[in-house]
Amino acid sequence: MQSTFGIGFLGAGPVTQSIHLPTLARLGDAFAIRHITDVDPAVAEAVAGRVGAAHSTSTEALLDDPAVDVVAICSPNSFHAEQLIAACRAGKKAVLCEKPLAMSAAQADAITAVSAETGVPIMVGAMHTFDPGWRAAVAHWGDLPASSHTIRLSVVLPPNARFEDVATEVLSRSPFPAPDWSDVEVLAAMIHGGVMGLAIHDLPLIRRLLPRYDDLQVIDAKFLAPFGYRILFVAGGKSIELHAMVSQTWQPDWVLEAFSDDQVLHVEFTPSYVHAGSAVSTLTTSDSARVFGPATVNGYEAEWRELAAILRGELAPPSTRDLVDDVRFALTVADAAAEALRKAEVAA
Amino acid sequence: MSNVRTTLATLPMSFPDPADVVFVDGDPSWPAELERAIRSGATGIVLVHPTPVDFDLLTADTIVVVDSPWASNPVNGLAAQAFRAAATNGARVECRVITPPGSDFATALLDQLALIRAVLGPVMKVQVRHLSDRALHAEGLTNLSVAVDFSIVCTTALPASASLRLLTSDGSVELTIPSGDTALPARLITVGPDGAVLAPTQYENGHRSSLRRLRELQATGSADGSAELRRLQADVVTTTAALGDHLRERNAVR
Ligand SMILES: NC(=O)c1ccc[n+]([C@@H]2O[C@H](COP(=O)([O-])OP(=O)(O)OC[C@H]3O[C@@H](n4cnc5c(N)ncnc54)[C@H](O)[C@@H]3O)[C@@H](O)[C@H]2O)c1
Repeated sequence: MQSTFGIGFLGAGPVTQSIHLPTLARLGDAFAIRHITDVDPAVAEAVAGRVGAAHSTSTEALLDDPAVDVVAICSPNSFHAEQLIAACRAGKKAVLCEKPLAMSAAQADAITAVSAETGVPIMVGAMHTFDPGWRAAVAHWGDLPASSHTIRLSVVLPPNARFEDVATEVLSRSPFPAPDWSDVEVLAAMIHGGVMGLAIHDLPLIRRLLPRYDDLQVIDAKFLAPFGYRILFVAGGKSIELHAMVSQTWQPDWVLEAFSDDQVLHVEFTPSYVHAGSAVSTLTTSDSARVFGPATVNGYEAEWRELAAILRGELAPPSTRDLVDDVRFALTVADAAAEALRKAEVAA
Repeated sequence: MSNVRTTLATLPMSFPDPADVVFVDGDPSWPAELERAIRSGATGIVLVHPTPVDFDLLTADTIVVVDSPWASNPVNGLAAQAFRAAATNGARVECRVITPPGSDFATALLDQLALIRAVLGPVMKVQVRHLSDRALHAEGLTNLSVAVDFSIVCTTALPASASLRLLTSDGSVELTIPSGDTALPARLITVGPDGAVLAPTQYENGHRSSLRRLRELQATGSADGSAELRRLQADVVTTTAALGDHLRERNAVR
């Protein structure tokens, strides 16, 4: 039985450099990085040089490399679906796709089809879903999914670069956009991007607390300068608030809360990139508070460990249907928020 | 009112003799009670946690202080400095209240308006975005155009509290006020490029702080005894305008 699996990265930007490489450095018994692909040849070569892997500039070259068992998709969002489908068709052992899994319902359908056709295990790098602090809360939360009535997610972060630079010296970086704030379509795109880029981390968690979302209605959606949003929606009889703000603050604050009449869940996540251990979850009732975490294993490490267990046949892969439903939910929120913002701007 | 009595039992010697102060319970019949107290010649009145009902201002020499669960906390002097300094153009403040299920949302919203008034200035307009049996979400604007996101969430799992947060371009100002039933202090934290500063905690609950205010107003001799009632009246009007239709709709559905 194979015990070490070769990984190939499609996209070698900040996430590959500062999240996955440091994580995999701890998991040398399970994985070896074999191939780095980036459309920027200098980046591909430099990152490959750090880990002693082959490098290339095309998806085909990576998929043709027999040393690659697992394809990790870390390219910009718009390429995820097509690269994932190609990796499944190439007969790889598994695919780990950075969030979001897809950017449209059509892409989500195509992923469902390729999964049914090839049976290749698919994982989404939504690290909070693997976070031991979160998982422990889920195991102990009792009837919270049914009883919770109000949910709130608030993410306050410094710009990514602050944390990327703590994790490693990043070689390449996309410039921060300087959009035209007076254009309503720009704002709608920014809020859509905010949901699919940032809220997406926790929307699968929120979906676990919602009995349904086919009745989802966005009540208010605002873009907050310089980059943030506040979205209020109702679904399945609950009210959900999504808030985010990226500013120059040094103090990150990433909190998910769910309230029922007699129980409150409070989850505090560590920031992305920095490997500061797991989330800390607290389940509170009127007479006690139970605290879960922090564990030393964070969501990134847990996701790769889980993938190793799947490859070794010790664990069933996640249901692709569930992952596709997660991204459909995110797309529903993103589309509805963008539409609500357009309507509000037109009315104003 | 039982909490007020506990407070009265532990007053410093220098405070007004509680025997000379009339406490009016803020349940919906408070305007009549207040009027009775004023006409009876009371020199100092504490109106405790008023519900938002319509009332006429009486002209009298009596000093009336309004004891409001969050606004009366002694932290608000420092909090007002911190929030006003941070509330630049286009600022947004989150104002979140935890309260037990079954609480009256109109009163809870009025309490929030009083708090915002104390630390930032009067809220001129409130628009309710969502109202259910268990939560309220609303948006308001202060006289200086600071946007406020109000929320009221019901649970018994946490003690009642109010929290305010203003995110700045490089930090934040955050305030958490516990229920005024004990002297558990509020926490005011200002975060900036140099770090986070917790303001000195003050172990005095809001009820006693209201009495302190009454004593100070009485001591000046020339205080405008109706000033707090006028401010309350403005907030009652704003609350009623915001919630009127929503509560009527809800009651009609039932
Ligand atoms: N899990 C997390 O914590 C987390 C955090 C941030 C971002 N992400 C996700 O990770 C992914 C990568 O993020 P990033 O910040 O590194 O992105 P990025 O856009 O900064 O970098 C992506 C890299 O991919 C390369 N690239 C572009 N097109 C490509 C293609 N077709 N094939 C191969 N490579 C290509 C670029 O040259 C660049 O080096 C994104 O999908 C993002 O949503 C995840």
